[in-house]
Amino acid sequence: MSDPTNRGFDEAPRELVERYLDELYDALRGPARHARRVLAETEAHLHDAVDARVAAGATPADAERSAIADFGPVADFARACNRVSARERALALLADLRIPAIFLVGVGFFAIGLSGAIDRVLTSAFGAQFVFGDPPGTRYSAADCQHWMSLHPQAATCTQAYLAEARDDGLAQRFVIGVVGVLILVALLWWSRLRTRALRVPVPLVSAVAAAAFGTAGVALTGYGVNRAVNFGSHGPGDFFSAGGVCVAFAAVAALVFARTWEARRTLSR
Amino acid sequence: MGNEQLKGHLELLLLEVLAAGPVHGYDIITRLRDRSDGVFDLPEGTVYPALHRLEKTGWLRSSWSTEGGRRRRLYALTEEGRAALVTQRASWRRFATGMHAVLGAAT
Repeated sequence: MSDPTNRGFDEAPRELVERYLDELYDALRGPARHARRVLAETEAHLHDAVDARVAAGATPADAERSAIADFGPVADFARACNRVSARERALALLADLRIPAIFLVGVGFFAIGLSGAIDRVLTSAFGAQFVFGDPPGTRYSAADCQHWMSLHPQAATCTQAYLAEARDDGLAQRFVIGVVGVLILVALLWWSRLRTRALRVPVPLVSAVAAAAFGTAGVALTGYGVNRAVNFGSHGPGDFFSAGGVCVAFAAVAALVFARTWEARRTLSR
Repeated sequence: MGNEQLKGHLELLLLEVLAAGPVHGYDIITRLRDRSDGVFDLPEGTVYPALHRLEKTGWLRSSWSTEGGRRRRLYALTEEGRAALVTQRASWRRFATGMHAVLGAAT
């Protein structure tokens, strides 16, 4: 007769314990490592409990039944274990979303920089009023006018000084934001090479979010630009057209990427 | 003692059992049952999620060990866990003293 306290896993399986473990395997959720650990601990526990009962004189079948009954129903145990791993799952999801979020911020900043470059072209072609102008009749305070005139002494009027200031500020800010966007994207690429693995960007999710965000912003900004052009003519619609145009273009690219990856997935799953 | 009542104090009981040194799950349960003269008789599976929670809190650490061909997870108190045990023990004693005073006065 074998020593019941020294029973290895290579011996004949205990059917009730095996069935309990099978049901537990089906009921466990969350990270594979956590589930494997729960299964291994439960398996060792149940075998220890059966061994102890057999050593105390129970029949193997009674020992199994009693050990399982004392351990508790599979559903209750799995639910309690899944609650512990739910927090882990949430943290893992947040960690997974960090890189896509940084990537989208980088793309967004780059888009702002690109709209600044278009603003520069529009300013050269149609003048600063078309891009940065306020609606006709806008009044500026004396202090503001004095400030702008001091910065742009060549301007003949307060409005001209305001336009020069808005142009300089607007273009400089967008240039800086665009450069930051490029730096973020380059840093992500560099980081992924440093870690000798590809960027973990879930392309369908990122492209869908980008298409929705850029699409919404593009429609809103272009609509606002059209409204501005209809109501105030050449006073400032250019800025909205450039930003809206860039957003619509980025949304179209993102939608195309989404459609292609989605189609590729469907083909693979057939 | 009812299981629901016991669950509220399970963390303190687990920390107390582990204060003596590293122990695996099955042993923790048998020690709990033995030390309480059979009063604390929870469904045994209840202990593992509680151990996992305590480990995530940083009060326990665990590692695999193999004995007699069987792999078991050994749990041990961390320094933080030891400090938490001292605090929880003191808090429980204050509570028990208060309960005893009130119940004693009622009888």
